[in-house]
Amino acid sequence: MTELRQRLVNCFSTLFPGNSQDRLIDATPDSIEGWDSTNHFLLLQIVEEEFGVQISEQAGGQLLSFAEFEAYLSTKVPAE
Amino acid sequence: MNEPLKLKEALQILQHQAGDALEYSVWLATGSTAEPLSQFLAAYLQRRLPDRRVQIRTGLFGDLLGNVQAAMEAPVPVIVLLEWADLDARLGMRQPGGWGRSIADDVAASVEQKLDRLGSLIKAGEGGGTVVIAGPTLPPAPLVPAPPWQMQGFYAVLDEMMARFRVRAASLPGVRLLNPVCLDEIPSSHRVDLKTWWHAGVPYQRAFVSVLAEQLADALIPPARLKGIITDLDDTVWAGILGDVGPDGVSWDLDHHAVQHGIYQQFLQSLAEDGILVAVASKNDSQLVEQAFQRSDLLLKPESLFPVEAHWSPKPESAARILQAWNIGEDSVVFLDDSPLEVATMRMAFPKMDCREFPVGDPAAFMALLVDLLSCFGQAQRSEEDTLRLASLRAGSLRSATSNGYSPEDLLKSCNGVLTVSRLSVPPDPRALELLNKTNQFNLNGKRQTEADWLSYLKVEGAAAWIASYGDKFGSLGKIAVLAGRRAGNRLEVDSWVMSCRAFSRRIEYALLDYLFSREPIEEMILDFRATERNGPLREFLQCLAAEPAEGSIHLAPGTFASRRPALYMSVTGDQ
Repeated sequence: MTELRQRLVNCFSTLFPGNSQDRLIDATPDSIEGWDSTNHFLLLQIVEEEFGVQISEQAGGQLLSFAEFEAYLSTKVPAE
Repeated sequence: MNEPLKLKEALQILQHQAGDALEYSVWLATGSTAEPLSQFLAAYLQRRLPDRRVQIRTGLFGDLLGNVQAAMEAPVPVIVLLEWADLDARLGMRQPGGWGRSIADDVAASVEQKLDRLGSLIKAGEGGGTVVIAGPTLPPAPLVPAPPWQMQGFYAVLDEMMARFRVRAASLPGVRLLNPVCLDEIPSSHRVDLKTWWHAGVPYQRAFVSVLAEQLADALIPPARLKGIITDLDDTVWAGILGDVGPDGVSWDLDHHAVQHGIYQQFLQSLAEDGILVAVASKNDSQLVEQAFQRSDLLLKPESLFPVEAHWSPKPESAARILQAWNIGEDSVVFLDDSPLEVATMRMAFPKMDCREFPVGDPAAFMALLVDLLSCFGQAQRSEEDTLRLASLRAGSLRSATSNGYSPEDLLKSCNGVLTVSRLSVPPDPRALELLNKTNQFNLNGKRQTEADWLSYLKVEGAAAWIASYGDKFGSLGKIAVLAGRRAGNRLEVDSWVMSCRAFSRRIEYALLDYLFSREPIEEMILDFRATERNGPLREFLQCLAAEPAEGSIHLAPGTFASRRPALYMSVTGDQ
């Protein structure tokens, strides 16, 4: 697992505790209980905080799965 | 000072809430989206109340007044966070509704109306519990295009309205205003976040929200206040070495470049007047100290100092005597000395004492020290007991002195003590909760209560609580004891019982039980005793009364009590 993926799993796990790592990696709003608009906003905030990035309103609205978050961050965060 | 929590850390704290812990609810009334403020606030409160499960109630977005109304009707503490945009959306940056001088009067009228309504809602809930009011934390929008350096009249009018609202609110019982100054270190450019305001209705930057939440938690559950300061004299209370320059040579004014010491003196004096104990531990010639204390220009009055330990013995010995005279623990005290060696020595002798170096010639560090000490000792309001504390300690010292050659019985007989017992009603005397939460030694079980817990407890059917005041020929001690329990038939199950350490050795604890057994229909008292690190005095008291080892529920019947209590000489009056 890449460092980016691990950090992103930690972000998801903080907001959606009780889900396995595999489940989080496959997460979408439909598959994770509690992924509503409020928690989506909090998720964006946690990810911004964790990775030191600013996610625009437009981009944030399109990040609707773990995979999309991961792909977005891989373009914004320098590889270790 | 701790670093503000990050959002991830806040959420992790909340993940560890015990599901079966008693809930502690707070209403957060705001016109903005409550997240992530509600998470940060819950986390900071959870750190203060580790045995509870903190829950934050919130209302509808964009309806501050409606949320305040709902909050004031709920039997829980309330936090009101208002911003200019809640009073008129045109003062915000989210809902364009027209700007310009032509609408300024209309906006001002709208703000005034909303503030009046807000004030009325808060007043309607008066006495229901703690209400913390914060904000505005963000500047009003540039509705009138004045240059940034100019305080345009329109904004002065807004400020004046807000000041009037704050004055009215501050006069209401239970209302606490968050001091805007405590956020002053954060410029508005680091507070507002237009992106999240537009996108999610959250006008704040995340880091600012964390700082704000911590301040709100402090306002709701203030840290425990310390009780006393032990201070050095030379190069601390005054500039100069008394033994070298003599009483007239020490200084604390601008002319002698020593004004820092004058400021320190008046600061200590203000604390002393608020009931903080101030003692001296100085390696000095005691006669010279007495002469220096005769100077009429001293800002720290010698009568505010007790005890004064001025001699050549090690300072930890002085501190031990001071703590004994005050009858408080080392963890309730700050020690200040300009000598790093003395500070280190004291820290070794009293590891739990807050020992600090007095920063001579470093104005910035001195200012930081004053702010720190305000955090340790400041309080919202001074109580009657605060003004009596020093006098009663001095009187206690006098009692000890006059008791030489007398038996305790003779002394107690001659005290002319009067105990006054009053039944607590709702809303209760705030002194009762203060005693419950700050008393360690004579404390039945060490239980601490939030204001909301206490109010709920008193409203339970069968709940009964009493507060007792004491005075004798040596002076008044004020309100010094609280006993609270629940009636079940002819039994009284005592859940809390505390008595100030200043009231020891007078048999007040016996007199209070004697009063309750004689005036109330109580055939058995069940005391919920739990040993704590500090409640040895209460344990010893119970061992005198109860045959069985003092642990767990102690059953006490009037007959047993009457046969085991010592003679009582004080008169006891009640309000029933």
